[in-house]
Amino acid sequence: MGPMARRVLAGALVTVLLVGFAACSGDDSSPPGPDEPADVALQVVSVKTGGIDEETRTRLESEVGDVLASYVVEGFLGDHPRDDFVRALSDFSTGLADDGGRDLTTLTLAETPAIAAVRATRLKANLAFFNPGGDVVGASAFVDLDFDLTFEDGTTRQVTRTGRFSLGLSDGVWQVTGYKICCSDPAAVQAGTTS
Amino acid sequence: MRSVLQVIRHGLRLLPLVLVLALVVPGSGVRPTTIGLMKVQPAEAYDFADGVVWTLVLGEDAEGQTDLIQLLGINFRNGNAAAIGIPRDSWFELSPEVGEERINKAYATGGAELAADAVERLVGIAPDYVLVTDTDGFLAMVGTLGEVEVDSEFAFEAEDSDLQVHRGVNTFSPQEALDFATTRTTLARGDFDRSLNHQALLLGLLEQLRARDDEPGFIETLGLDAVDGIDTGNLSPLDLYRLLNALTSVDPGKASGCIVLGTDATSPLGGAIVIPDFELAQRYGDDVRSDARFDQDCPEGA
Repeated sequence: MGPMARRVLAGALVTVLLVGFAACSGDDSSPPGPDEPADVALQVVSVKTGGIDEETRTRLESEVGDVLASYVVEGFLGDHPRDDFVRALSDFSTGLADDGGRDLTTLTLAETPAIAAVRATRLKANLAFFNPGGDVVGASAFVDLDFDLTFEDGTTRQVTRTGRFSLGLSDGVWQVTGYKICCSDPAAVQAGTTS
Repeated sequence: MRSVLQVIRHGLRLLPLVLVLALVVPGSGVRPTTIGLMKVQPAEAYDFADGVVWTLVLGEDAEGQTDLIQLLGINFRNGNAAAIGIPRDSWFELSPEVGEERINKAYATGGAELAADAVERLVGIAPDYVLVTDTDGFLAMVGTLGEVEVDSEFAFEAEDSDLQVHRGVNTFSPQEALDFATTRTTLARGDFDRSLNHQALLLGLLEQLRARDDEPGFIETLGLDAVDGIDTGNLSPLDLYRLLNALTSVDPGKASGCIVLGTDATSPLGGAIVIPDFELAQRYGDDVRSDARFDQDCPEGA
């Protein structure tokens, strides 16, 4: 595999992006206070690909990063408890939406009960672009996502999602066209419930 | 997407009612324990096709003849895959205009359209796509896939090389994989056995694809090889990329194949040909058309 160019988007910028998405998700959440740990920034890197210059790569990373940031916010972050996790599928292609709905428990925190708060502790995406003839038409996004969950009884657990999203670019719009996602511990994720 | 949203939103609207019932219905008043256990299952899906896609895979030699002819069906609903191998010397009416000819001349004579039509006449399944690769394209793609493990049904010595194939699992370099695929004369049943070897090779390539799909850039590099080395016909680069991604979801354990047997004969020009067993070929087609799964066993030798 070719050398990888590590390109980390400015943390502040992406944190603002995440907060912005959260604000758009329909709740009245506010940014964390000075004593509350904030969500980490989404770090987007990409495999060096022949035929893609630096400027184009930065733009592509930003475009795909937006799709992933939206997915993370709608699927995991925001104010809890909430039940609108299906919003995480808004950038999924039409043909993938039913599958996404079926797999919502894996793709998001849907059905994880009694969540009081969620904080992102690791958000990484490693991209590879598909550019036949010099035109980018697709990408893979290998994600590594860690979250600290606080439940209503005060207990905390870490939840991890890792895997690959496949994306296609058509008419200037990126859509998720596939996924292979799981968890670091597929056997069980403990979730707290109130007693 | 809209329908999914509507269903889920509808379900969420019922959530308060469900919660009220849970509190009222006798026996539901037991409050949950402090810690519950929720399993999170691996999730995998790709948006390429809803159901079975049939692809005619052709391997073209230097003379433009296609000596690798496999009709592959992939059921993207459940990961099933079925292959119907057609020996290159199968002789029948390729089309009313062309008349009787070996099927391995169809692509050179009438392009992908004639090859697809001829296969449909034989098997009764119209390919959705035709993918044609030549020696260079094959070597490039297998080179990207890396060494491939192939479970050979036969032990034999390859033609024109020192490759010794063992019965069972062999690890092949790209060139060795090509030697394995092109060898015919040292096989006991010639082209029939070679067609079985082609299916074994395709299965090995599929397993290798799945084994490496978690490497960043792997699918993309393979896709570029495919664009350069394959005549993809009506498949756009984006569709090809999506197909490659979707192929990673095919379960090799759910893949099966049979070959179209036939009777040795001599062509009007005196060449060796095979008169294919049309009844058997049509039976294969009827069996796997809708689900890419062989419900009946292959006959002996197929």
